[in-house]
Amino acid sequence: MLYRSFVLVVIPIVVLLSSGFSAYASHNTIAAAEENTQHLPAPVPLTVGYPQLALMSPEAQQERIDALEKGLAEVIDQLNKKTDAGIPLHGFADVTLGKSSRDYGALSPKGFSSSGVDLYLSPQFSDQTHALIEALVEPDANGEVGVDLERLQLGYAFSDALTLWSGRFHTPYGYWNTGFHHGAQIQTALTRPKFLDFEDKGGILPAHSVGLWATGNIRYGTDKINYDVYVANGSRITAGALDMNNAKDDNANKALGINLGYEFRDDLEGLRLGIHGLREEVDAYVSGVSVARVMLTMLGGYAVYDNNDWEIISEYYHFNNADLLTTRDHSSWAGFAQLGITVQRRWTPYARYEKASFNPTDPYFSYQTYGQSYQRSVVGLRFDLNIKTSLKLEVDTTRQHQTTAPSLNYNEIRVQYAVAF
Amino acid sequence: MKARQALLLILVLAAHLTAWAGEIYIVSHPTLSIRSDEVRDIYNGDKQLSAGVKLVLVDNALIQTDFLARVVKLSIDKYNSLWIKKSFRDGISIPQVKSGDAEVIAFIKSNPGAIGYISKPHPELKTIAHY
Repeated sequence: MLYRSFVLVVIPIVVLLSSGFSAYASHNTIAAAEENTQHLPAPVPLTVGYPQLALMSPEAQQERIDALEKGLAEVIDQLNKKTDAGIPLHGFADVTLGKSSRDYGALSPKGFSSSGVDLYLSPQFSDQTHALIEALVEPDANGEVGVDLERLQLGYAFSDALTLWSGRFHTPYGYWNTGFHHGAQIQTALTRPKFLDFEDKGGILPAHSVGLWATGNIRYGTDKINYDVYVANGSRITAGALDMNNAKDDNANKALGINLGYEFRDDLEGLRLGIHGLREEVDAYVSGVSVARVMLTMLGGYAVYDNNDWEIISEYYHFNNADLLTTRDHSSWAGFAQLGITVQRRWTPYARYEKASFNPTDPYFSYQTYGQSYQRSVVGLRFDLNIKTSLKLEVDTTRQHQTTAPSLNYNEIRVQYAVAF
Repeated sequence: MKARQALLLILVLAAHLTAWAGEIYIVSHPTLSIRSDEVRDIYNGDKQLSAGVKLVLVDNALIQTDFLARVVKLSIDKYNSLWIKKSFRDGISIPQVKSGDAEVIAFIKSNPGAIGYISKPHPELKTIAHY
């Protein structure tokens, strides 16, 4: 008790006294400092310690000072540049309301849906090293939300004529697959051509690949030549769909592909013509057992015109596949043409016709759930609310051939709100 | 009333002629070496490097429409659309838009790979072309 009383009385006194002494000491220090400034020596000349400066003329001294100032400004600029403002994150999102005249399975539109949120970023590590990372957060057919790593590209740009990417990338065939991919907002139409859809959405070609990709452009007069050459894990067919062997290859054969484009300038500004090819060995699996092996050989071409409010895209794919178990060759083809014109900057009516003629005895198509021949006509209207937001209305009619049943005919209507950010 | 309409017409014409007659100087950081015929490729996103240096593009909001029409031969809608697509396909950065000459000059001076355009030449920047 006595001890507590002592503490409660003595400590405040000590604190008060010490603060009083501190204030007094501070006052004395300030006073002393003021007094001392009266006796400060004259400013030291700039030349002290730099005898060579003393020998310089005033003009030379001024030049030296200017040079130092400039150097200091550059250092400050460099320091400012080091301030990391972060990596911009971009992406796409859309919501679609759709209805089909016939329920033909998981891909049949019914009510509201969203293809998810596609996010991408492109960190730059140095002038020549960079990366491209894209992830898609999307619901599956059961409504479960998952994350797909769409692209993971690590690149080195040797020059404009050669950038080498490694990792997972959008397979560079044709124009559509790399030009738009998950960017619903940047493609005029609401839907992709059916045969070029994603692997898990009924597409019959690998929309993604894992491997090495060389790309670049070379000037030819005022025109431009673009190229893509890639080597990647070959695909396989499992559970009725293509799988690009994301984790590891299922066999030793690699996919080899090429895409060569020519871009016109001046009089034919906006016109691009190209040829493309893909060759890979594809195994089809049922219950984990390989049941077919096909050498896929695709060759084709495309023409794109995008200028003066017109957009015309056409792509053609010819398949000459070899069944490696029966040694029979199978020929098939697919293609589409789409035409759109923008009026009054915001309205874009468009139309597309697609046709695929797949040989039903070719295991490459017969083991894919959506590997049947079809014809589809599409018409739509797009309205751009602004550069990053659009509303689309699209109607299509499809006739899908089936090997063991009459053709499946259906009509669909979709309305979509799509954004880019 | 007629006099007011005439005055308005004269003002509109004058504004139009001023916009048409405005000069555009393509400028870069002094360390860059870029030819005038490469400017269009740069603003189309086809040329991204100059002697191993990553080019950093900057737009000048005050004269952007004129610049795009005269040099890049694109409307502003097409230009914006092109860069959204380029950014997505190739992972390249969309050009920054600065409010005017002063901001463009300050940006270029502090970025060794920077290229932009202004309405008057600047002694500390390299003039690549003049339109």
